[in-house]
Amino acid sequence: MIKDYEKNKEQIESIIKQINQEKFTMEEAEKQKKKAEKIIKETKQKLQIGTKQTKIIKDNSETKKTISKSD
Amino acid sequence: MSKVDEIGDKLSIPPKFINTVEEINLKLSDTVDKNSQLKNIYVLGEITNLNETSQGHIFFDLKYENDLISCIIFEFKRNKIGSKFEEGEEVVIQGSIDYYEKKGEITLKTNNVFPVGMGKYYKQRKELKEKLRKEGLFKKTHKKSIPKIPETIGVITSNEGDAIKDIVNSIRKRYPDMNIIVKHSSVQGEKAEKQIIEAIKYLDSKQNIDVIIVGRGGGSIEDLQAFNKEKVAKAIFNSDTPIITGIGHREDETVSDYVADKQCITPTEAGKEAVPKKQELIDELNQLENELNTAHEKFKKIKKREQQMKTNKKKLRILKTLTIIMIITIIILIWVLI
Repeated sequence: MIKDYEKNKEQIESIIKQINQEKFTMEEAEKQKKKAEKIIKETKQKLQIGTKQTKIIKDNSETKKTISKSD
Repeated sequence: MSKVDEIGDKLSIPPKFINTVEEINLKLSDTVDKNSQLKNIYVLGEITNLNETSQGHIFFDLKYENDLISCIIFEFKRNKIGSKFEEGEEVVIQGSIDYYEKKGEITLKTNNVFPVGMGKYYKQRKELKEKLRKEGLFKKTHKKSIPKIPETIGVITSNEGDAIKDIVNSIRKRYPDMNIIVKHSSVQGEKAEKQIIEAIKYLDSKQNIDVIIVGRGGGSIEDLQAFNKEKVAKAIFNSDTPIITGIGHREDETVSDYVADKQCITPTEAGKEAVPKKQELIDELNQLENELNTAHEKFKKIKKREQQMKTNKKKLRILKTLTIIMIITIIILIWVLI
């Protein structure tokens, strides 16, 4: 499972909050922004899970197929 | 020449031996109507597949062991019958056999219903439910939480039924590239109990499966019997992987549903419950990205303004100093001149 989604979201929200509260120097804010952007990018990548195929196991033999609405 | 005559000629069958569907249905209807043994009879059985039409007619099947007959209570008879009865109840029906010619259907037209008691399957389900409740299997403290974003979902259902399409489609609609592993199992009949248990153990043993859906389409209580077995309920309870059930339709309930970590009313609902909408997650992240950029831009403007103000203050200080120097110089000059 994608465990870090909520944690990552909280981390980004915290950075935004701190920037809004002007808790950083210009340099530090730039650094934190880049950190948040990296987290967003990585989280988006994690959401790309697999394929559109469904593995069906019957009698210990596996088949892969795409089950569509028209099936 | 009539069509029957033409066909009789073509096939060399005397036309008098060829019946239309209408003719044979009328003959059957006449036979049923004239048979006094099919009128005002009493029939013992268990009510199953109970349905009510929007016009207020009630349809159900009366089942006794492996045999079944369709029954109807017309809306105008309902007040007269008066007694309440429900799915699974054992009853004696008083009525007459009717043959509906248009569809060629035999129906027991019900005039009265005499309740006998709870049917066998309902009694079994009720007793098992009570037993497992006492053992604590339904307690909320035992429920495992369903992961918000699973990476792989295990599905236990028949690969020949509609439920597999309903589950897979509802997952894919929300999360198109989700990993799905379907473990085929009979969901009805003699093999169902054993196969469902094996499938639960098999998928539970796989490390990468985050949540399991156990599903099948609707049916009578006999059809859903495998999900009312103690061993199946305990296999669900003992699974380390959280299990969502989507068994039958809205009105169906099984002991497995009570034990499951999450119970859904249909297989489609179970699919929905297992995964979030991927697009919503991406939208959330895009929204955060926008908020981050806005906050940073705002921050930069504030800092720039602060910097500007600092510079202005500095300039002002220099100006002040210069002005004082000038004034002093002027005073000195005046004093010297005087």
